[in-house]
Amino acid sequence: MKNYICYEFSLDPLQPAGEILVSALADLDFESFEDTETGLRAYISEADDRTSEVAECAREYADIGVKGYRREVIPGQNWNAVWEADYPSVRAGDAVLVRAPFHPADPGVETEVVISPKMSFGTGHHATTRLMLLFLADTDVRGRRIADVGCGTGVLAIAAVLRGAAAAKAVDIEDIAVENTEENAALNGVKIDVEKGGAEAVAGLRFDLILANINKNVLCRDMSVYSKSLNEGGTLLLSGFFTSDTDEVRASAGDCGLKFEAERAEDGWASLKFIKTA
Amino acid sequence: MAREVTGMIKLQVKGGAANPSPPVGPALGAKGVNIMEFCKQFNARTQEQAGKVLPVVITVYGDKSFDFIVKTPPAAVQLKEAAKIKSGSAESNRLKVGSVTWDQVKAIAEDKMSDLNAFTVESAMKMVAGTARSMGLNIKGQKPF
Repeated sequence: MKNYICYEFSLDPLQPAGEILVSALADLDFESFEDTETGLRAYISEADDRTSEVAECAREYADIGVKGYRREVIPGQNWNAVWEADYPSVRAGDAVLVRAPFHPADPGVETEVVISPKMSFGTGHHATTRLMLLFLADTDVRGRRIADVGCGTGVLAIAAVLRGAAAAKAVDIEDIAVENTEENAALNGVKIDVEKGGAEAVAGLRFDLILANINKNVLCRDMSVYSKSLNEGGTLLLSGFFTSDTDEVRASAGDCGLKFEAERAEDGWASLKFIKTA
Repeated sequence: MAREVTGMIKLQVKGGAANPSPPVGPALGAKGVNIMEFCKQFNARTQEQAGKVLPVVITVYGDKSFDFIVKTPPAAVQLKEAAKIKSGSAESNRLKVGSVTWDQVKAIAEDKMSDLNAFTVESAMKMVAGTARSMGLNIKGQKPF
């Protein structure tokens, strides 16, 4: 879990110093901000911290009300722990159950995936995960080589292996997701090749099925990589975008030699299935 | 029956870049909200404004569910964009003096009127113009009031 730095600025008057600081600090890779009664808190990961530039910024805007600031290290921790301590298990259709280690096992279900999320995405509570699992349950993955791009908890890759996939590679740009997928693979007793990275981490490899639950822009940007990494007749399952975005995703896939096969939707979120034609 | 509101959280987060770290993580996590659910929704909804600072007001309910509204970027961020200034170095921001037009000030004032607590476009324009000057921006053209 990454450490973060909080800079708490004292401002008087609060505006326009607050918003001017936000505009300046945003360019210094600060990610998020919070107004307080006496000023502004600005947050950046410790790895990206810019102490001298912040000091420069505070000096420069002293005349419009920046009175000073203090810097505090916020140690990384599982901020999602409260929710993760007590949530319901999730079914995706009849075939798949996603549960936490603290839920009782259900021997009656075809595929049971145990996930301890630790702040990674993919517990089955979001519609996009369920939609992908429903498509996966409809796809014969036995003996297939699969890739999960943007794996989060690794739930999709783990479900695929539990349903008979011969080999699975899972990649994510976030360190915590890479660690978490490894932990969850062990929890389920499956072997997954986990690597830090985005679509480039699967480029040059070949798969029969690629799963990617990310977002529209990243999916469209990386569509040609997915297509080139699929064997002919292979399947691409995508989600992470709204039903209003499906035309754009379908057009992007079509441009890369992927034939539209099916669509699922829930709560305004969509999932699309494509087949590699040539 | 209306759902019980247990918290209102106001943050400013870059479009497409919400993650479970501070301040999003602690603010939502302490209320038992599934942070990853918020991040997925916020990032999908703001993907066309990736990297732009967006004020977001999150309402948390008694059943740990939430909804949120995303506002347009702060006037200072919009002014910087209008003036096509991009900093990101240690160099003084005000050395990169730029300018905006009164038309641009008016467009930003109209966009931010409700947040500026202004009753007329003219008073909102005066506030935005004041912010512009504090940033070191010149305002070009004939002052419209």
